[in-house]
Amino acid sequence: MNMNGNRCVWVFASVFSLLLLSGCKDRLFDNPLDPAAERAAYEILATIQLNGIVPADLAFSGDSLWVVDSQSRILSLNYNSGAVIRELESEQPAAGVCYDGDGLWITVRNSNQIVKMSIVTGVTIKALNLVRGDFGPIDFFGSRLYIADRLTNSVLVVDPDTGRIEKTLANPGFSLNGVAFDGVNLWIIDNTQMKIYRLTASGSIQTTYQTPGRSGAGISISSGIMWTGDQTGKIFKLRFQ
Amino acid sequence: MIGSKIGKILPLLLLLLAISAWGKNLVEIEADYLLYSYDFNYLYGRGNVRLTFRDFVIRAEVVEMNIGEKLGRLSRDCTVEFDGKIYAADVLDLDLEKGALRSTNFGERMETLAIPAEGGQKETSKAATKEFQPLSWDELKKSFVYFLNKKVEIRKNYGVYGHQTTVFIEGIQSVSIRKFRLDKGIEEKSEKAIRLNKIWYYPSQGMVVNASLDWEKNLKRSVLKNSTSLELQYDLFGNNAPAPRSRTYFSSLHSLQLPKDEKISLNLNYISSNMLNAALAFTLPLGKKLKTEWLADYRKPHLSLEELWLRFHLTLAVAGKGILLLKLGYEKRNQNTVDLTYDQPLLKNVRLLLHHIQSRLLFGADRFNRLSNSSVSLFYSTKIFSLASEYSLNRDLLNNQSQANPQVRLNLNPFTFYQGLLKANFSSQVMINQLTLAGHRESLFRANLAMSIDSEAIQLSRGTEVSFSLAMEQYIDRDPLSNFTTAGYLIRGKQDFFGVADMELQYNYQSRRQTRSWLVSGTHSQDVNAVFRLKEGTQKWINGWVALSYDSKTGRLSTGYIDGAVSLGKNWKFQTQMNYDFLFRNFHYDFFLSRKAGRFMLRVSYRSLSRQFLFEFLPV
Repeated sequence: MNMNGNRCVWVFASVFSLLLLSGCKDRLFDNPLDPAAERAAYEILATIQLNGIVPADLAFSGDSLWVVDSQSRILSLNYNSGAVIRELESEQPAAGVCYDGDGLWITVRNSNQIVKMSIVTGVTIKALNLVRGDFGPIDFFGSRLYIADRLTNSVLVVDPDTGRIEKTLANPGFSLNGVAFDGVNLWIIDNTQMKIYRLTASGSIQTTYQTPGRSGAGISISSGIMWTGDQTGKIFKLRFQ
Repeated sequence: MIGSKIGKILPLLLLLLAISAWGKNLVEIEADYLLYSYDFNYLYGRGNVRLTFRDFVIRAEVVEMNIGEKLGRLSRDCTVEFDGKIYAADVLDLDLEKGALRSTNFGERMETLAIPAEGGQKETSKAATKEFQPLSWDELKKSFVYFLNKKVEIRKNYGVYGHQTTVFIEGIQSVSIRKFRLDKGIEEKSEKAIRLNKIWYYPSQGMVVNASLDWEKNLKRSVLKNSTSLELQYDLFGNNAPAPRSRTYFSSLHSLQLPKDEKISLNLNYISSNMLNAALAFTLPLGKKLKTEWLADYRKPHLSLEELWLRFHLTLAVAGKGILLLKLGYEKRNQNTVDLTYDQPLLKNVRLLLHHIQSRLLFGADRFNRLSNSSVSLFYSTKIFSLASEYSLNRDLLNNQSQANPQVRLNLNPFTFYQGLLKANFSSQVMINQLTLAGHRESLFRANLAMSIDSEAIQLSRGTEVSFSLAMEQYIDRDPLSNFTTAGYLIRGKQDFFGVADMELQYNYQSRRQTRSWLVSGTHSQDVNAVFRLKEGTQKWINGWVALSYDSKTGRLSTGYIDGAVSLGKNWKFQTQMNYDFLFRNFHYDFFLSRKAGRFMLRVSYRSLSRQFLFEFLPV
């Protein structure tokens, strides 16, 4: 076993060292002879390794990155190292999280309920029921909530004061693992296809990208930076070209 | 000597106690100095203490009672007066819950004698009462709210009443009251109880009043229960405009538990400006294996059309044959849902999971979306690996799209070598995705191989340790642009500083490469994170950490965090969390000033990012 182990380590280390050579100056897809170089969609600015956290949804609050994980924990992370800063206790199991500039909105797992909670204490400020749904990731932009509804395979645009559904946008795929609205485009992650969809505000497909990991979950966009989670325990910090 | 005297009269005591009746109060205490701390629900008395408990009259110099724990202790020159006779003891312990008394005398050898509750047996062990844990005077002095009294009564529900009471808040003398309820004790259960749970002001919600009603009634062969809560919120200063200023939350659950485990329940929920929901459910078990539930569910959203759903749920569980779950739903406008799951353990290591969902649901105002999803999964697991194969077929008739998705996943269970110093993981996934969208067909083939090695923490010298993780992943795709290899490593170092603080350094390097035309291209990211952390518990008055992130690829600092807490005495604590983003030059900070007070906490906080100022009273 020791001999095999030794061999394993050396083979792994040899292959590994080849991949880490930084001789290519690290421009984005920097082969000057590569005719497809400009097709690279985004640059991965950072890959944050999480310790024991499997992200389900993300929200950037300006000072930290909020993550709802597969165990429904609501965690505030250092957005450069992934270290846990604090954890909020929630009365309901969370499936998605977003920040509205004041508090956190969460979708309640396997239910048609959304809840606004204090970002400081975690106490429930407001609860809203929608007529039906099975909610996952959520985002907030311009005084509207964008909620991924797995029951109708669509994104619901919801008034956060009354819970009224103002618009329903169809998902071009069949899995809703992340949703974000940047003011112009709606972004959706479908991890069964390893794809990020960029849709117009009316819901038609504009562009499709490959997710940086194999099991994308959660998107948040702020100041031109996109954060996407991956269920292998990573968060990618992306900048689109 | 004294112990043997008590031993002789014990049978007489027990006989008399059996016929004695307890008074209105469980305990009455008088003393020269009698302090009750609300924070800790703790009583401390000194000087000429006179305590009546059961039929005993006890005199001592010091009395301490932890009313939350239902225990008490009298010490220094204790005497017990009973039936006209006086017996001496060094320490007397009371167990209010059991009604037991334990006398301890320190002579040439320690003698302990327990007098149990009525009907109990005499014991000469410590088991007669729980061990009393006195609260130190230093802790008691930190009480936020305490009362000085001439006399204190402890009722049978452990409610505490003070006579000639003077209130002290943070050591400052406040009002004096002739008789005052210092603590309400344990609420007695009654058939009907209306409770006013909360009246409070929150900047985010406004004025909040919360009340609840719970009752339970035993009928001939069934039990009827109700749980109702009502919360009224009013935004006094219009902080949440344009949201409605007043908001009402009402919920009520009636349930009737019938014999043979049948159950009828009626659930009402109302949130103003949002939705009214009423659901009537009937649970009917048909034997041990089969359980059914019938449900009528009415939902009326504010300013939208109502929906009335009839639902049927069935659960069939047969040992060795698996579990079948069926959920059917029908709505009066011809919306419907079907959800069928069958989970079958085929062999010892093999599991089969069948799942089918189909629905016809309103999409927007007037269109219907017809969705269906069927999946078959087969799992095989051994001590070495687990293998999963899955086939799913999705259809969406409204958007004219469908997706077939077969995939196979293989995970090796983590294995260790070098005596557990290194741990290796391997996983692989192969997936085909055929998506048909509005007549256009797209076929994807994706495979993925991932392996990683993680080390345990390696001690380099005293107080210095290091650990690392290596990971590599290969993505294989028909599209050459999506064919790439990622690799990365993470090195963590930790240095102890005199047992007081730790310095943690983390270097993270991640690369993504692809090879085409014999040239390697790609990007990488690297960053360094440093955390200086004071160890918890080593410094009582200060605690916290400082973190700095540096992007070593661009050579720029990226973020800094400070989290610090300083004790200000008397359980007051100041805490701050600060964050500076070097790239966007944003500075955010949160301040907290908190006062721990045993059973509750006061907290004042300010969050610069949302300019939120909060004053909170939090039960602990």
